[in-house]
Amino acid sequence: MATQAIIAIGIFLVTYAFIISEKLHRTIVAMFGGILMILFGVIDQEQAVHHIDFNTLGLLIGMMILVAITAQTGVFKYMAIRAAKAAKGDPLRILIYLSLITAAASAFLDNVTTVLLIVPVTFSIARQLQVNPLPYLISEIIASNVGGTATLIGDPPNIMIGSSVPELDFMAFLTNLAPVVIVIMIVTVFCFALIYRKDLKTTPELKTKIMSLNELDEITDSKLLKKSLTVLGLTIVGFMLHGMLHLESATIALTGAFLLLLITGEHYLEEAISKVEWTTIFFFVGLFVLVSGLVETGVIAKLAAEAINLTGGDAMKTSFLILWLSAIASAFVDNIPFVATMIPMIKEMGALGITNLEPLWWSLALGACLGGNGTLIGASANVIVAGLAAKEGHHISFVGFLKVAFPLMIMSIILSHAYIFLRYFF
Amino acid sequence: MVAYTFDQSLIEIQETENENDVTFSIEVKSEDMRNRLKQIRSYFEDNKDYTDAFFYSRQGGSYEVIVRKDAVIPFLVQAFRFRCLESLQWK
Repeated sequence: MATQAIIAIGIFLVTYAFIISEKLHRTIVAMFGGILMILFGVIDQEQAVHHIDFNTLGLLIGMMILVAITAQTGVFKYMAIRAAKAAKGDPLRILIYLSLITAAASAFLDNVTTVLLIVPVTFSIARQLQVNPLPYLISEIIASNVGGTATLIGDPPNIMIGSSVPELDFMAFLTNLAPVVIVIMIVTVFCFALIYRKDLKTTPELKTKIMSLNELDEITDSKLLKKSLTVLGLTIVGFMLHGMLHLESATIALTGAFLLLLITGEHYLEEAISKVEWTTIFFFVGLFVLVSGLVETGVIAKLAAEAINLTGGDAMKTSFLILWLSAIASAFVDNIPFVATMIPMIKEMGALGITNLEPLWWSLALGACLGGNGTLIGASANVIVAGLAAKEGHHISFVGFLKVAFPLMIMSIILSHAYIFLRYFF
Repeated sequence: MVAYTFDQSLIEIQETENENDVTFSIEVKSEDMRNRLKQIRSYFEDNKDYTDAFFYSRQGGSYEVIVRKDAVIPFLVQAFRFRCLESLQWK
């Protein structure tokens, strides 16, 4: 193996170890790893810039701006209170409805954003009912990761896959992933009801209090709400048509974001831009450069060849290997760097003779997104909610979460395994 | 311990102490006062502490605010700041 390849592997492994250890902020580590690839001459700056996927970054930034403005209208609180009233104040039914809302919202918004919007109103509803908020929070974490799996824009792994494979447009993600995600969500919600049915009890008086809430008072700016929902709706239609229109998904998201800023006025600009999670954006930049070192030195091609040797080049076996490997890996390490490494490897598998790569891409998406549910550190939404809960005096323990979430994650991967077999190989 | 007064022609406040928090049942009698109450709500919803004060808006136009015990003083200070209270003093 060439010296440059050994240096690239060394930098990659050390960077990865630091990301997993969480001793330093993952963005600093990823950026530093990427910069080391250039400083050690593994790649030059031009190659590094060439490997940064601006479609992924543009899509993330556009959606973050759109959500930052829409969140100011109070529409998410309105929806949660409507759901609580539709459940007639029954705590278990509220848990089911909030989980479904979280899953649906996560399909179109970033998971972290979704949980940040739903968690405050969840605390509020749980307090009104005088029930423990933890079952709600755990269900919302799991629902956000399941829901985010359904679309191209729902979860970072899907955004990255969609950006790297132009033929996999929004509708391709929706038609290939949404059916199995709906089945997984139905089974998951049924399991939530079984697990938490004894924990969530309240009095008729407190149910009446929920029914007397005025959800309309949650809408803080109805003019802004109309504008935001119109632009958000147009953006989603744009995503559905972006393949036909030959436009990248980032173009659609950024058009939506800046159209909304155009019609709402510049006073929203500063706040909307400040709410973009720039640490996440730079994390992606660092990872793209880091992985490019492995691509340019031929390490990824070698790994792909080894994987094909292991499965004999059989597309079905390779799909299942990717599905389970992604799920287990994503349960314990950040799925974003994992997917960043897997994407060039699957592309290389195409060059090495696997003709139909589509099942491999769906296996990666399902494994990486759903695998995040395995442990409390498996996905960003899990870590964020656990942090918020702890701050408010409700500790979600690693083992406590594992006991509920890991079996549900395995169940979701078994369902995905069956789906991939039936849909693509039967 | 703090004591407070309010203009009963504009707002009515009743306080009930629970185990870990205090519930304020609030009736507002003018749109101006409703807007001031919304400013207090906005302050607590923007402060990144999700359980310090829960605001519940009722269908009849009244409000219930459940305030964690350690947040009662900050809540009353904000109520005074936005002129929902006429006076606030240590007792």
